[in-house]
Amino acid sequence: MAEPIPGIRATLLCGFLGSGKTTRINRLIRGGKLEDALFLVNDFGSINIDAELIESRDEDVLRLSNGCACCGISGNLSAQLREIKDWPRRPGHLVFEASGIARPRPLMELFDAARGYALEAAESLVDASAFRRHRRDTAIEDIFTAQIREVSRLRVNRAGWLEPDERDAVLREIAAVNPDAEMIVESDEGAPPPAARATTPAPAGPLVSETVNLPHPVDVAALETLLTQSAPALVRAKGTVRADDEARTRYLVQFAGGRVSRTATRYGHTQALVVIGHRGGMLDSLLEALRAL
Amino acid sequence: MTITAYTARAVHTMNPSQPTGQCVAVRDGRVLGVGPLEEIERFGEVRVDDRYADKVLVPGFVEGHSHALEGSIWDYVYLGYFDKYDPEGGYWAGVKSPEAVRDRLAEHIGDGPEDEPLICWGFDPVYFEGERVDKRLLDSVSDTRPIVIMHASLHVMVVNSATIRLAALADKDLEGVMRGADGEPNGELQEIPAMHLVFDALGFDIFDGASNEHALHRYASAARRKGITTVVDLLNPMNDAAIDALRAATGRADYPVRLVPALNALAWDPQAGSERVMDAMRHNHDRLHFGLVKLVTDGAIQNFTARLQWPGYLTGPENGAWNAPPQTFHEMVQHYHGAGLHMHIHTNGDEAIGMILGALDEALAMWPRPDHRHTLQHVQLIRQDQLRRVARLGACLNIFANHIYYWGDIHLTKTLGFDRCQRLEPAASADRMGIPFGIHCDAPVTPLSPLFTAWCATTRQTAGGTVLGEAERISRARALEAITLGAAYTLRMDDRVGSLEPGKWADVTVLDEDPLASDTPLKDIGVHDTLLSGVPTGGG
Ligand SMILES: [Zn+2]
Repeated sequence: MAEPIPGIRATLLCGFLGSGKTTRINRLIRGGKLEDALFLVNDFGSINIDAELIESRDEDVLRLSNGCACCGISGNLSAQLREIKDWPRRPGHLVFEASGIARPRPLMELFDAARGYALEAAESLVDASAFRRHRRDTAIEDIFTAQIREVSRLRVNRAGWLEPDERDAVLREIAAVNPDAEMIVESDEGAPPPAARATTPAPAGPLVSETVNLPHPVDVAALETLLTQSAPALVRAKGTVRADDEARTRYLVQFAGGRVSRTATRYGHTQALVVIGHRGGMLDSLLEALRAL
Repeated sequence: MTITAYTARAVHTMNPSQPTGQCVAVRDGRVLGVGPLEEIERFGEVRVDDRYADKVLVPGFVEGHSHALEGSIWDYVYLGYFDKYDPEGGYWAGVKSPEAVRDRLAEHIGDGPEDEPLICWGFDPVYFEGERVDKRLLDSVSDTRPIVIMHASLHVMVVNSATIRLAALADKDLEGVMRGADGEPNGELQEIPAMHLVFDALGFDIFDGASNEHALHRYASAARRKGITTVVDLLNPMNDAAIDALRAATGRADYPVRLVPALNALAWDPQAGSERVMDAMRHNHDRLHFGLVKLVTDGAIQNFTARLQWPGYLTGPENGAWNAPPQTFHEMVQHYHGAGLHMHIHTNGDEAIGMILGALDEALAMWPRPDHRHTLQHVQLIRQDQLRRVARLGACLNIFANHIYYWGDIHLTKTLGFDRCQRLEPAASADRMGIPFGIHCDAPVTPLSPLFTAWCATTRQTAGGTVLGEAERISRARALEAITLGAAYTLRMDDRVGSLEPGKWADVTVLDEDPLASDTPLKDIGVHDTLLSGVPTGGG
């Protein structure tokens, strides 16, 4: 008779949208402490791994030279768990990134009971700087609270973004939701991004809106860099451009809330950027640079 | 260039300039005209085909919301409460009592190999009186062959002792494993953690195979049988295998419908998802139309999983469940709108509807796009103020008219109460506000049959015989438009299907009776045949 195969040790990573799950997973992968681990993640694209670490890559699974692997979560978790335990290269450890809306308890029960798995740890990540906002939001408050209440370990981040008084109060409020949980407060996180800082000096000039025509294909990365560098003077920018890549991809580019994003699109025919910002030297040089693209 | 003219007792075109015709004349698969034969003859020699001379011709029906699962779920044994027909037209009587459950199981316990589980679907004991269906009833049919009964909600299953043994349920300390007074599992399993043990032990998955070629052929023949010529599979995984199957099935010249698959956006990162759709659109042809993106925001009212505004559910839990955080839906709407794609968004409860209207409002403020035709699906509990917003945002609706018949009695007494039942599926209000809309069945949730759906929208009658919200009834003519041109508009295909107008594809449904002139309830009017691009699909 064959020896009983030891179960795959499962670690559950819960937490609301923006709570830092992706950062945590990237850190775990890079940390390299977990050998032979499979990371089951929501968004494959958000995992950044050094190219030299990648051993192979197919539609579903990314294999790393340190013995780990990374795989996207499919719609049917039950079927996926059945599949994984039958893999020829079966992982010894599974790190499961729950969706931002998942309640931990059913997932804990699933990994606890499922044949071939053993639940090792369930932790929730909590963004201290968003805690009060989420608790006030009636559309999500119940789920957000359950994510804190139902696990045995809380990993609180971005507490350092708060003023000391507020930070202590928020940490107490989190502990009150789940007094029994072990609480780890992350400390080495650096400063908040400019958009989150209420104290960003507001540029003084009046608001102006300018349209820049971009009739030729442009270097989209360069365009994004220009917008990001001019963030203090910019309120908003948006437009459609044609990239100078081989496919001449058409992108919607937008700058809002301090962030640039782009979307490949099949919509729109104009190629121009509307820039809304505060008049001054910074805006002028941005417009000049855009026209030179 | 041959011209074929199908003559008929009556022709309803859904073209306001020419609402009726005398025949449907076809050339090159398109409608050449519906006028008098002698006028059509000016185009050249006409071959008259009078096989439908005593029938009534209407535009081919467009089902804007169903699932290819309809083509694979019938591989299992039907145990639902209501009578149904399988894709081959076989009749399955509804199962209305525990005894009937036992009889149906006994009838099929010999099907297939003894060591494979007998799997049943569609079970809905909410309508039953008396004794609870648990392992004892199943064991009385067999305690050696595993039996699994899936509830219609897909959140619960009932299994027999053979299954309990195989999945080793007795020693699992799990909330979802229901137990009797003796502490032993009673056979009822609730939610995924418990049900997974059975899927795992027996190695089956009820959703498996919904996107293979075989299922797509069964799905199409089920649709054709009910007069559908364009059908939407509104939640396709669109992985490589699924796309290959769609291309292979629709690539056959005898595939009897036009198929419109929508990407299941929640299974994709938005950037990858929009690229996948744009890539797939290169494969579009007459019978295959990629381009739709489906978002599912909340659950279903009868399962208490729809997101409701105040005062929440009449009985049961306070509120339902989101499928992703509202913020994620905002970002997805912004992304797919920005990508120039066409979204169809499942929203049942009024809280979910409000959230999505907010997201659309934002996306349209950022990227104004007239004629976007983003469509809210189901919209069962939509409020009047939300309807006004829909109209202002230029969005469309696809209304779940069948729901009132199947769950209206439950909504009245268990989920919503009297007042909110009056406003369910408000087709007349949508019409009054000029909102383009279709009506749908969501098969296999309810049966695939546009005439039945149209009947529901005109009567608003529950299975128990109660009429809910008389003020929201629509006329037969309006209902016929909703299952043809209305649905085609929400798919941005109204330039090709949905009405019988020169230049459009000659997709026709052939009926035994006149849906507008006769008094026969719409649901009882027979579908005789369909034509796709002017070719009869029924083989004569
Ligand atoms: Zn559906």
